[in-house]
Amino acid sequence: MTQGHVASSPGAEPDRAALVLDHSSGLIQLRTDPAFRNGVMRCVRCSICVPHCPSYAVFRNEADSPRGRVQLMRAAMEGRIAPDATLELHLDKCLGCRACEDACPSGVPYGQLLEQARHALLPTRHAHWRKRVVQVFLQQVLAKPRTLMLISRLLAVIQWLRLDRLARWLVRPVSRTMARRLDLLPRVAGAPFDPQEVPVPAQPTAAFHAGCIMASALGDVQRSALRVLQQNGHATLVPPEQGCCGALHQHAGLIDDARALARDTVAAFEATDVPICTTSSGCSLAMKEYGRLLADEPAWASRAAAFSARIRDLSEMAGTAGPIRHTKVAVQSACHHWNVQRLRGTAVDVLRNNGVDAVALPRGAGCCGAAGLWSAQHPEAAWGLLQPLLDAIEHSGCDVAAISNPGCLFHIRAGLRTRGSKVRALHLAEVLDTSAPSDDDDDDH
Amino acid sequence: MGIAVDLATRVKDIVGREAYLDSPADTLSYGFNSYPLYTQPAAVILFQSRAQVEQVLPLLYARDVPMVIRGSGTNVSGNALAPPGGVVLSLERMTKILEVDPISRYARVEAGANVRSIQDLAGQHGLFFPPNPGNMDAVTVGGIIGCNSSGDLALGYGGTRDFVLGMDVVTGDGQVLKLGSKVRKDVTGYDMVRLLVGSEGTLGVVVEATLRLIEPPGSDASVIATFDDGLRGAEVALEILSRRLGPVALEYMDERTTRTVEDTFQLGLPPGSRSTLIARFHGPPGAADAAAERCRSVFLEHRALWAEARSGDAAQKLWRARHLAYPALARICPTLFGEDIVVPLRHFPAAVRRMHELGKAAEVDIAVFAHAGDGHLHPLLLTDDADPEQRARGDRFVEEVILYALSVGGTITGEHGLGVHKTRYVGHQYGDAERDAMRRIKLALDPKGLFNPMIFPVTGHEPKNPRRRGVEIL
Repeated sequence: MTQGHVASSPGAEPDRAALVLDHSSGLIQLRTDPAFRNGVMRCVRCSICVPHCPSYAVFRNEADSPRGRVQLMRAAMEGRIAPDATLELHLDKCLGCRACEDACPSGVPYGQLLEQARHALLPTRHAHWRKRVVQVFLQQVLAKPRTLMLISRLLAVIQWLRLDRLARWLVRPVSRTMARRLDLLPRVAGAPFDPQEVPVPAQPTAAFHAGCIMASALGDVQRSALRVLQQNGHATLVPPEQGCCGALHQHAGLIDDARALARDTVAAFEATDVPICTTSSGCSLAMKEYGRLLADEPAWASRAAAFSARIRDLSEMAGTAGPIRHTKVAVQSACHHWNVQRLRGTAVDVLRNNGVDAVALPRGAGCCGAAGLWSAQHPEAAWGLLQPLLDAIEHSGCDVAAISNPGCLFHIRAGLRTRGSKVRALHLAEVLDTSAPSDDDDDDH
Repeated sequence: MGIAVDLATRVKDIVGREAYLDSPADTLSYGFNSYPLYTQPAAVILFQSRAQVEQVLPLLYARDVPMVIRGSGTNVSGNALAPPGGVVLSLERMTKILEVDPISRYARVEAGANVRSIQDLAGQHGLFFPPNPGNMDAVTVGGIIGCNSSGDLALGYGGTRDFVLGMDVVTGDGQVLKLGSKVRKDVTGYDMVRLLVGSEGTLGVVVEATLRLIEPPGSDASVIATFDDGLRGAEVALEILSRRLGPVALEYMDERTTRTVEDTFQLGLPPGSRSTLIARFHGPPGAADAAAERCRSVFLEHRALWAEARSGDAAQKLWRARHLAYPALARICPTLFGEDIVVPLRHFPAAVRRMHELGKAAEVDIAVFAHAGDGHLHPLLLTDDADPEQRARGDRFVEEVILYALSVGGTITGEHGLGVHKTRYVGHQYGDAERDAMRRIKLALDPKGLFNPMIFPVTGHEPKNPRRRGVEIL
């Protein structure tokens, strides 16, 4: 596509003759959506966000910065540019950490804009197969607990037989990227967690969100979290009908799927009004924003807002329950805790209150590089973002690192394993759990 | 349309394929700054080193390719917008700090180095680099050199120009001019370094700079006060200066800015605050706190609604809010647009009043904040460029503001630079003789007029300066 050289006053009606337009593009349709339009117009391109962006830090290209992406969305919305493959690639390279949104003094709702833009670009033919694979994974695997359990068990067997290592060894000479992808593959830890294995308490004081990946691949972490709640005097209800919260669907622009999963999740927890504990920072942020996600659905808006107000991270619900086995623990802050939710330092505080020498890890570029499915799509960049964090973990003098998000946990474990590090990455729940049978199985060393 | 294929191939051979961008999405991303005007460059080159600049520049220059140099694109007057068929030379990847000499007190850095990182590094060596433009985490050394943008500490320490000892500049024929030195006192030949600072990339590409570092203050304290009258803050600012309290920064915010900053950053300002003054003091240990306390008394003497001295984290929060006032005002309107006039100090309170009168007369919404200690006002136009009528009214306001600044002996730009926005107003400030002298200097270093041609047209063949009026095909 070629364009004339255009100097335009933003917001003004562009000169149609000079532009090649794709009127079928969903992005140009978004000009009639007041939320999207007002959101992009709020950006005055001041660049306050740019130094906070991990994808800009790694790619060092304006189009891979939040300011660049908002301007690309706006240009496509205004018809100044056709949404071509390069544009999609730049939107795709966003990790969705939302550090930019936190830093933005103008109040640009970046997360929401990105979701809407990705949604609008779903039907385009660019990156068709990649989008299709992600879609199938999210719709047919993540949203279907039985399929997810099955795949998780299959993966566990593959990893037990070390077939993944064999595959890596075979692939390494052919494709470094594919080998890196295999390095970063999540490792299943413990038997899957089934909500039905927890008896229903008569008077619940807390509810527990089991999650999809957390329940299927980190079952032991969920059991630890429930023990931590119990040690803190909670009678915890784990509603059996619950499933995936839809966070990853939302990030990928599958907004209809995200809404359906949100409605199911809200309904599953409505039997009580007790606080809902989560062990995943990504899920907790998504669930705290159900109010916004379902705001246009009159039957659900207030129910979703009430649900969102009940969401708590484990670090907010854990008190001082007893002696912790680890004396010195490095604590990582997940993006989705740090940004928007602003849950900063709660994990460090809870560990210190329990007598642990907790070392807050520096935030470096702001993200470990896991970011949901991002590390699978951009393995080399994800690896690059991870290295400074691994250095900090190894230099912290701790033998354990506490993590509060499944994606970060898999990613950091993979990194430490590949480096042959002696430091073990555990979920915060496992660190706090004073009565875990043994944490030898908790990670993959 | 990109640049000629053979030329592009040669450039790619030097910088690498990944660092040469010519797809529409990529070039569009380098076709804007913080100024509300977009262009679409023909190509973008992301330089990794000065050696690459030295090799590529003569190739482009020989083929008459217009060029614009860009750091992090934070400028607000359209200082780094590429002309038609032009190429953006991006220095954002040249971020190395090459040398710090704590004894001789200088740092040698690449042009893309970030100002905050230089300040942090200076701090680690027990030294201080005062220039602090609002968006310090993003702005580059090349950017503040290009516009001589200095931030609020210019009152106490002087501008960026006072902190550049030397620089390496690549000219169109690939020559490297090593200007200045590593010492503070240097009168060898013409002061080319001071000429280059503020030249907005119109004379050559600054690839390296040697920056002066100084002793840090022993103490640092700030005072904030609000007033129940929009103008009183401006009047009291003059009073603070006449009392010789020696603030290193003295900032004024009008009612609209005060309200927006409070809504966004929750500084705890009392209701009914219609203007704000923030003063900062540096001095030997203990001295800043004493000066801040005296300043607080003066504020209260002059009927401040509320005045509070702050230091440490609380002061940092205060200054962050002040620095981010500009983008925070974007919450109010779709198009934000900042003017940048300076008036002699005695006219400062009258200038603030005049800005509001002009806004009213032109029927536009405005907000005013100012580096009061320097008589430096940023009247901000809060508008919607999608509406042609608002745009026309805004242009009228801008013209009036500029004429007012000149009428009292001031200047049309204090630190934002001319950019594509103000080039057309240079004739208001300088006559033919002065402009001709500047033109000859420009041609001596850039004989073809290819460096940032929209800002400093010399050959008469440059693209016409785009006005902020809808879409223009250049």
